[in-house]
Amino acid sequence: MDRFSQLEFDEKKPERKRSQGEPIRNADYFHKQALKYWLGGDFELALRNYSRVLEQNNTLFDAWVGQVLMLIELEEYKESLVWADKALELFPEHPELLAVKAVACCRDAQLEKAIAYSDNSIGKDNITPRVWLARAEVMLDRKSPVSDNCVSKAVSIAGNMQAVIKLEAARLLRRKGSYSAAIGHLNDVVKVFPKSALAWYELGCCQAKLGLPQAKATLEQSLRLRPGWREAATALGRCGGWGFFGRLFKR
Amino acid sequence: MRCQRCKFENIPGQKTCIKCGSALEVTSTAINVHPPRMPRWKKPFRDMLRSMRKGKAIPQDNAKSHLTPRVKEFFNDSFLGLFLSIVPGLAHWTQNRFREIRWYFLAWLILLLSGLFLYGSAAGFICFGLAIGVHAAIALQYGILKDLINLREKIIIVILVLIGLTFLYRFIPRIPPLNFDGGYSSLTIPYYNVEAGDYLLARGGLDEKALLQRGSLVLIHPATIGGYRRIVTRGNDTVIGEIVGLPGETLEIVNDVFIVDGQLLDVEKYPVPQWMRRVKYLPKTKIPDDNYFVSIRYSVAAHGIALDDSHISQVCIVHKTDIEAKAFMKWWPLLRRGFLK
Repeated sequence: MDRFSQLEFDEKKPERKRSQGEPIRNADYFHKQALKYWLGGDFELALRNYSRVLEQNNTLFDAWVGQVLMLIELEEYKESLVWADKALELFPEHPELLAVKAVACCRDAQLEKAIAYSDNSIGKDNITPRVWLARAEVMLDRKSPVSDNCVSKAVSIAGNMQAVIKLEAARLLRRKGSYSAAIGHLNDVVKVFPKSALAWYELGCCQAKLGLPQAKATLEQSLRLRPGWREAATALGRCGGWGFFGRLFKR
Repeated sequence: MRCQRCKFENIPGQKTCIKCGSALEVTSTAINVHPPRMPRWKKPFRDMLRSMRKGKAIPQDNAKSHLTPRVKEFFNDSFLGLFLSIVPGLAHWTQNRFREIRWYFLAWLILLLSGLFLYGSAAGFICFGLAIGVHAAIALQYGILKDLINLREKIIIVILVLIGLTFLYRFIPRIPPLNFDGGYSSLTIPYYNVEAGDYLLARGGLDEKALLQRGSLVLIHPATIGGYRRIVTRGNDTVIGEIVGLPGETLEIVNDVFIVDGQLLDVEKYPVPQWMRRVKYLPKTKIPDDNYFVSIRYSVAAHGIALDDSHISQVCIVHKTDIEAKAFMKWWPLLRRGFLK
């Protein structure tokens, strides 16, 4: 023990390290949170965070689109169309908003409207990757081979949000049954977002559909990232239960 | 102030973009930023409406096909698709769309096999009914409903397809060379281990020149007595009876035993039905050429008339052309399933 350690000198004690505290809850923070929840597959929380973004700054276009997209993910197509119209009042004739309207119509089985919105969005300037993705979705619904080109186009113009667009493209391809093409995109996505439960879940589902043995491990990884996720647990439960004939018929 | 949409650099203080009209800054007026939400109870209704709308899809012109474009064009017709769907899934297969109806196809197959296995029982008929429904769903899913916008037209076509398929299921087994038929036995015959109400399978297309053997169990349409409606087992018009007398033979009933050409017949093999026993003595009856004496059960009391000797001849002497099929197998109940001796 140091013999002078107990002596008192007239000097200030060194201050304790200050805690960093909670981050500033601005629009940017909520936007990141929304993206985080989306990557985690929790669309409800992502939607709430997008709303908080707009509470802070109602001119943020991405948040409006995000809200509409989350409503679509939650299968509330009518509401998403209403909300897209509201966003269009602020951003008139924006191709991306028209494109998400096309997606909403397409998933709500209103194909004529979907095609009309998609045609409209394609004809505008400043086309975003989501416009091509919407086009791909509409074309896939018509089983048109053009859809592959639309997906490629969307990925190629995605720029710094390529991983996000690839994830959206992969989800679209999975929904339409192109599992091997979806796996190609998802393998890139999980490298960029290794903590995205949604990406792992999508990858696991595609692998399971193709009867690949690694599907179980992939879905388990998804459940590790988001414990208690019902969809992933269900997919994992289905994973091993198929016999030879079941797998044969599943294809 | 840079526009979010068109990236145009606007003059500071501008509220909307000069180029595209988009909002540039936080507006002072309150904007509701919370989207409307769907009540949970609406979801099943919306799902149902969506699935109904999916029936009215845009024709898939670019769908890949096994067939050459010319043949594909020919098969594209919805009505032809409906016709092809007599074989479930065939129309879908020609369009490489079998995947869409694979579960329906599996369900149809299971129901059909279950129906065949349980044929003759109520469960079997339910299975066949469901199979017809699934078959109709496959046929209509191919395309005919897509062409119809009017709900009334859709309902009419659904009913027509169901009726058509019911006829198909009823008559396909009767077309040669299958010639399958079936009926309920009206008699209990210990020799064959057959009880009244058992369902027997029969094969039609009998050779008119060939003589049927005594003891054969045959499917017939019994005649009527005095214009009254036939009353036989389970309300069916057809019934299975046993050939007792052959053409040209003389038959009589004495003390509940058949006597043919003076020879007593085995009671185990040729039992006299209950309604005939009420006639103590049936005088010798000559069976005309091309006719058989077929022993069946018959409910005379329901007619409200007194039983007469002539009624027996009237009902039981059957012309050979009225014999529809010859039974060869006990099908129901399951535990006594097997071929006849």
